[in-house]
Amino acid sequence: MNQSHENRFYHFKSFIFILIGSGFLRFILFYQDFNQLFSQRNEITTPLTSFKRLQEGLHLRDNGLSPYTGSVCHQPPLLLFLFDMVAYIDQWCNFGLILPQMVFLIVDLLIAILLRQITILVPTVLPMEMKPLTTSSNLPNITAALYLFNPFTLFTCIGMSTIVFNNLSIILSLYFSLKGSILKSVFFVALSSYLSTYPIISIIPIALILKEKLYPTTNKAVVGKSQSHFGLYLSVFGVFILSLGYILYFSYQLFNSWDFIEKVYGFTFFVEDLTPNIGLFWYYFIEVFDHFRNFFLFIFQYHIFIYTIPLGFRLKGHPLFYLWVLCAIIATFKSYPALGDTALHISLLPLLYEPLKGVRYSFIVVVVGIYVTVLAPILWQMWIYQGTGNANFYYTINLVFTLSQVLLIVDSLSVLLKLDYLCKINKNQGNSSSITTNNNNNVQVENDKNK
Amino acid sequence: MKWIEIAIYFVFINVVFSTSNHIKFNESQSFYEEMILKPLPKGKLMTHVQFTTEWKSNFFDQSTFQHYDLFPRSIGDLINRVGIEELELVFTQGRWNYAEWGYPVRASPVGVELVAWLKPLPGKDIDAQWRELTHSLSGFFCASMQFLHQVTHHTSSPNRSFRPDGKSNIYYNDDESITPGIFNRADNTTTALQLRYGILPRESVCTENLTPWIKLLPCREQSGIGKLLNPLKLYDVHYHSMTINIRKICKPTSHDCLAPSMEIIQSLTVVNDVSSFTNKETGRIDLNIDQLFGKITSSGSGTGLYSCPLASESRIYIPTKSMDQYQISLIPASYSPTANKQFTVFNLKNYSKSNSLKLNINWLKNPLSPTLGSINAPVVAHSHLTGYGQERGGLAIQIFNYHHSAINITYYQAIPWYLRIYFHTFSFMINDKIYTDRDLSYHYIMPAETRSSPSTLELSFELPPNSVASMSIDFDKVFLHYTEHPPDANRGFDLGSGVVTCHIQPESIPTLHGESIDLEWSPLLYTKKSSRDNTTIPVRIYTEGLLITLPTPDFSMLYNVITLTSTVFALFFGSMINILIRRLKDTFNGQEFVSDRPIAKIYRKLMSFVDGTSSTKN
Repeated sequence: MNQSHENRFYHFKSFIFILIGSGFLRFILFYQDFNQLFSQRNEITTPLTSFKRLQEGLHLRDNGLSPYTGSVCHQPPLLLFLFDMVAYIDQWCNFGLILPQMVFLIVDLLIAILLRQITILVPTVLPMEMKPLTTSSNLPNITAALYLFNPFTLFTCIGMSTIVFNNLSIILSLYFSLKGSILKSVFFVALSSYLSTYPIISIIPIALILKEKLYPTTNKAVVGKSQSHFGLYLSVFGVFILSLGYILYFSYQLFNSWDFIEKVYGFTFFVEDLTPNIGLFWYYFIEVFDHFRNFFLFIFQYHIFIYTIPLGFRLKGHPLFYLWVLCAIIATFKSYPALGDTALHISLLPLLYEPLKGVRYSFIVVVVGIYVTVLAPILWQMWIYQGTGNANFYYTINLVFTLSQVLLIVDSLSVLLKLDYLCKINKNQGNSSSITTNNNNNVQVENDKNK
Repeated sequence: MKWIEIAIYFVFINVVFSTSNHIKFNESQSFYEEMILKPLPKGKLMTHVQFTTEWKSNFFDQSTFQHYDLFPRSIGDLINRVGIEELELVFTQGRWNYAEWGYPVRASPVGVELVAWLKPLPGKDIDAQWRELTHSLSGFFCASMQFLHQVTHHTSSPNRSFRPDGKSNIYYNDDESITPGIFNRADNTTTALQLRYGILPRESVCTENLTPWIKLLPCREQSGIGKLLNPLKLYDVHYHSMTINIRKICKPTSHDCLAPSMEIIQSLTVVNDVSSFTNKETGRIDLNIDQLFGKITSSGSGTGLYSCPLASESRIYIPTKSMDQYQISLIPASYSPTANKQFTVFNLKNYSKSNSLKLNINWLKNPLSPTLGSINAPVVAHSHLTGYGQERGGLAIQIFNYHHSAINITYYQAIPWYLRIYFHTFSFMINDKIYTDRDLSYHYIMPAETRSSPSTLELSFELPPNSVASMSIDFDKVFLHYTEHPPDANRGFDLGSGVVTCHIQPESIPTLHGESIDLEWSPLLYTKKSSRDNTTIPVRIYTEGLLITLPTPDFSMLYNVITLTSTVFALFFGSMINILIRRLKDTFNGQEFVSDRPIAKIYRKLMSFVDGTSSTKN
């Protein structure tokens, strides 16, 4: 499918309106200096993604110090380099201060465009995940609009949280894997793990998607699969190591020091900064006894990675869902989570709308999401500014938020595995060769029954 | 033959030694004590007591540090062991009011300040030397200076604000960009000295610090001016500052000093509120020195003052200017002026135990000349906190120049790591005109390292006459681990004073140091005066210490947080395990689910064997 052909379908014109509308909304918010307000909210920016800290790093470099002197700047060198260039261009073109904000706006629009393309590509590459779309389907536009008008995304963009670059590279790797480009997709996985460490585990779902694209399961006999794909996995792994090494070496060249390894990755793993965010780490490590600190630090960090391989076995046939689950686990349990991480996995949800039809607790999850978004700033105000509350107030809200995300992950996983089982039953009963078409209908039926 | 051999050998040794010892060292130790009394506005009285022990010897020889006379052995030992070239240790409580009181003899920040110029010792790290120094001093003075190294991390090294005070073989000139060093005559090299600056704003100063300080004095509190050191009265004051200065000096000053002498100056500055002694009718304060420090015998009269027998000099000074301003009248009236008539002097050497000085001072509560404030202190600095809430804030500093000529000013501030400074928010203005970093003549920043070093900011600029420089910088308040909070966490954290070093020409401001610098031999100020003519002298003042409240966790929630958070983790982990290992059984359509796992096969075989039905179905 080429680009011009696609553009005529799936309500391309309304997509343009969505883009313009959301871009305009962001522009207005930037123009009204909402970025000053949002960039200081700790639900939106974390020590790792705060634009103010990035500016401080650049300021230190202007003063002849390494940007990683002290404990303020924890952004990877490439981001510093990017915004240094932006500042340079800004100075050169005399645009005023608007340019860094424009970068965030453009990144957001780019993610939306990619999400639309991904929605179009998924049914062709991963028939197990989504029904084929009709050319008049609204789903691609809805995916993009749900991303652009999701308040979490909006806050993250206006708050100038650099997590959007991580989100962009994950979406790019998904896009290129659906396109079947090993080099590009794996490079962007490497980039996202360089930017925020944890997405390193998403290399496995990306490899599975690449396998589905390059060697579709439906056309091949089950026997002999493993031999033919070993080469693919090996090359994915090799490209990943090489591109990660290349990015790290390039970063080293930028500032001519390896300081950033300690200041970015060491900082992520050892949780030196206990500034509250929407995760569980901060209050736990404020309160934990000193002699247990290292033990719990290890457990909490290790915990994020333990699900990767078991889930890989269980979700072999659903690599997109697998990617979503990993993104959701990272967003829930990473050391410095923010709404931007949640926004990423929420934006992938429309792609999984079929399996998620059977989710039982969707109402609770949505309501708790709204409840938390509204209550968290109020409780923060009570603790920090008015002194009428204390740290427990804010911690409780984090706990509730984490619980709702846990509920979402667990619920959707169990639904998917049930559907998978039903498919297997149907396949055994029908013994038909046209698995894919039957599959979806049967799933639909069983799904309704399930409800 | 043997005798001749020995004789030749002896002569040879003598020759070798006499050539190496071409510098003549005179071994002597002497002790001086002096006191300045100066009335301040609103019924206050400043008392500055200064004890100086001087030690002339050959400090290039290690064995020098094995014999002590008047010089305190504990300090001498420390100097040798840690490699101290110069040291200032100040314990202060209360705030000196620069605008009203003028400049003190020695300005000090709130709490404890320790400044040390260390010379590198072979086989030792400077940080190890500093650690040893702080820990030894903590032991000596029962203070918590070891915290300069451990929890609070208040140690820094300013580049320009501090210069060595002594004039010995320390090689440096007035150019602030040159690091001071020791000149080695033997090989014409210079060993750079290392400066360490530590400040503990929270330290409260009390008698437990005073007692070891008194013990260093040759006469202790038994006789001489030391008799006035009554802890009960010394701490019931508005301002209390106790210092120890160690340095090497040369007298007379020459630029190639061959035999410096070691000097330890112990001084104590106290500001009392004596307005209760005011006579309501005359408006005059009438005070006996013994009443002030409370050593009154049962007979009702004080014991009086007389010289410490070990002291070479023992004097009481009263500024002549104050004599006129406050119309001071003294009993007894047997005093004499100093050579330049700046001070009125009582020589305690003229008094003895049987014939002691019972000094009575009588002065006007309010001075005659009304325009005091600004003239007393040409440069005044203040610091303030801005913002509200416990999330972030800002620091604002104002430095006023009330003088009629421009003054070069260096500002230094070390900010502990629990305030995360954003240097890109730093703004600097002189009289509402914005200056960038590059407009300043010197600008140095170093951001804080979490849990190890403070942020430091140091800048130099020229402040025009009658103007004000305002600086501001933003910070975030760092969220600390519960054990990092002090015992009364909601009181907050103290932020140490900023150091303002003004380079003032003493001649241009007669009220400034004129009165204290011209003590006849006052060692503390001696070298400053005797440096080249027409040069500026660095006058150091301090901004106020600030109190910052950091966000506190709930200190009683430890177990609850651990259990609740772990429950969420366990919930997720449990549900995931449940999902991952669950094998859905085909129960609803009546078919039997047959597992093909090896363990299930073995189990089935075993069961069929037990049942007696051999492998019928598999």
